Parts: sequence; C-alpha cells; structure tokens
Amino acid sequence: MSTWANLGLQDSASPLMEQLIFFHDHALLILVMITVLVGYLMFMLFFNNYVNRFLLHGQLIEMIWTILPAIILLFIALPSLRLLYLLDEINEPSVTLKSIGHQWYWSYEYSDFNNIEFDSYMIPTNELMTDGFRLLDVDNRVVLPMNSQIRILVTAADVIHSWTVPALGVKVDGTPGRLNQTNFFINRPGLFYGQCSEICGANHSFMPIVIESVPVNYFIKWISSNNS
Amino acid sequence: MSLVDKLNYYSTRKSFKYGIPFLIMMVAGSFGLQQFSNLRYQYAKKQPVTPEEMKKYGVSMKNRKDVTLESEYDKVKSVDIENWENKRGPRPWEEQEDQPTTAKH
Repeated sequence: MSTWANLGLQDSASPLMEQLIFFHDHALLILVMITVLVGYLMFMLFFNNYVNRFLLHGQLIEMIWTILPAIILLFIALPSLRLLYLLDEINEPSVTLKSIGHQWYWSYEYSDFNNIEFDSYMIPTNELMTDGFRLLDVDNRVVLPMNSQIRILVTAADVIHSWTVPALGVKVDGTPGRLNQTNFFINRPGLFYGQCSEICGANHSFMPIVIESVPVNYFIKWISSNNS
Repeated sequence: MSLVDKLNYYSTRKSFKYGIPFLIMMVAGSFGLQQFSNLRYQYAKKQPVTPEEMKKYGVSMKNRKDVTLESEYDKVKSVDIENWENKRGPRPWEEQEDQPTTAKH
C-alpha cells in the first residue's frame, strides 16, 4: 500500500510490477538526460558571442538532431513493446477469481469452487478498529494463494468501475455486459490494497479492494472452511 | 596427405589447441549448469492448487478446462444490467452524514 509521502511507485508484489518499475526507472533516466542536455544548452545561450550570426544552413547538425531523437525513442519503444506483450500474456491459471463492481462495493466469486461468493464493503471510519486503514479496509478480503497464476475476470452490474491493485500492476475496467480478463502472480504474502479507479458515482472513493496473499495450505484451509 | 597427417598438422595450431577445449567446455558446461537449474524449473512449473489436491481436503474444485472465459461470460450474461439507478450523493443543503458510508443493502 501507499504510505506517507510516497512519491514513487508502491513496492512490487508480482514479477510484472517489477518489470513495470524497471521500465519506469529506465524511461525516467532518459527523460532526465534529455532535460539536463536541453537545460544546459538553454543556459549557455545567455553566454554566447553570436558566433554563428551569419549561418544559413548546417546539414550535419540537422542530420544529428533528426536521427539522434529517433534512436533515443527506439530505446524507449522497444522495452515498452516487450512489456506490453508480457502484460498481455495469459498463462494457465491455477485459480480464477471473478469480480463484479456495484454501486458501491465489489462482489467476488471463486469460479473454480461451488458457492464461494461474497460482497466486500469498505469498513466505515466510525466502525474501524484502531489498527485499521481508513477508507482502505474492507469487511471481506479476497484471499488468494501466493506463487500461483491467478486469473481475474472483471465486470460490473451497473456503471463502469475499475479493479486496481497497484502493488500487483493490475488495473482492469469493469464494464456492464463485458468480461475483461487479466492475470497476475503474487510472489510474497501480505495485504495489497487498491481502490476503484474509474469515477463511478458518489461513493467511488469508498469501494476499496483488499487482497490477502497467503501460502497455498492456508488458502486451501480458507476455501474448505468457506465451502461447507 | 592422410587424415592423421592433417590432424597432426592442425593440432599444432593455437586455434585448435585452445579453441577445441574451449568449445567442448562451453557445450559440456551448459549440461553441467542444467543440473543446478533443474530444481528451479521443476518447482516453478508445479501448480499447487489442483482439483486432485483439493479433493484430499474434501473440497470439490472444478476442472480447469470447465472454467473458461466463455463459460464465465455465460454466467455474467444473467446479471441484470438493464435495471439500475444512478445513485447520487447528498447535496450540501440536504442532511449529510459525518462519515462516508457505503450502506449495505
């Protein structure tokens, strides 16, 4: 989750988010290099002596400042495309989770099992425990096994919602009448928080998502205790 | 020049004396390294949550082939998306609760 004064991305909990962070840092470094270069050139304009006042054309410099940006763009475009296709890949899932957005809560369904369905509401601030997270904690968490491929199917029952967990690098729109899918792989246990990311009405800010990532044997225990 | 003579001739060359052992080491080394990485791939492919495993704990899990995007979409079709209202929040002049709540139905 995001903590105080966190300006960067959240710590990753999935291999895809790690890749997204690498790409973010890579692109940012290129931006910094360009900004420093352009800043230096602009700054130095104040101190020139009009050396090239009668210059009419310079083929060489024209070539350089046309081709060089193209090459720099390639260095951003190719890793970006690689990441795009990595994110799109659907591996064979262990567990399928279906999430339906409502005004204003999420309901979940474990499609592989019979009768595991529940609604997940935000805990209002006046009912919150002292160690709870305001506007983030929910009454029923989504329990998922770590180190397993998980497929998430997202849809909505009324207006458009968006199911988002930044630490896992997942953001999928839930659109009524459509079923969107993506997959993720959680590589550590923990609680991962997210919020609806599509303006969906008055209580848009009050329908958070909490994923509880647990080892597989705990997941099996949880399933068997909820299945009966 | 016979084959043996040719071999003797080439064996004096540095590219032969150092090159052949190097190439052999590269090819054989990859097989050697495979032994170390074997364990990792063996367990990376392991799917811990399977219908067979869940059966041991008395939980019936559907077969992986039965849970597809299409089968789930058929279920989603039954969700009533025609009848919904755009719920609005309280206006400033209306009675307003102190805390934002998502009232359960």
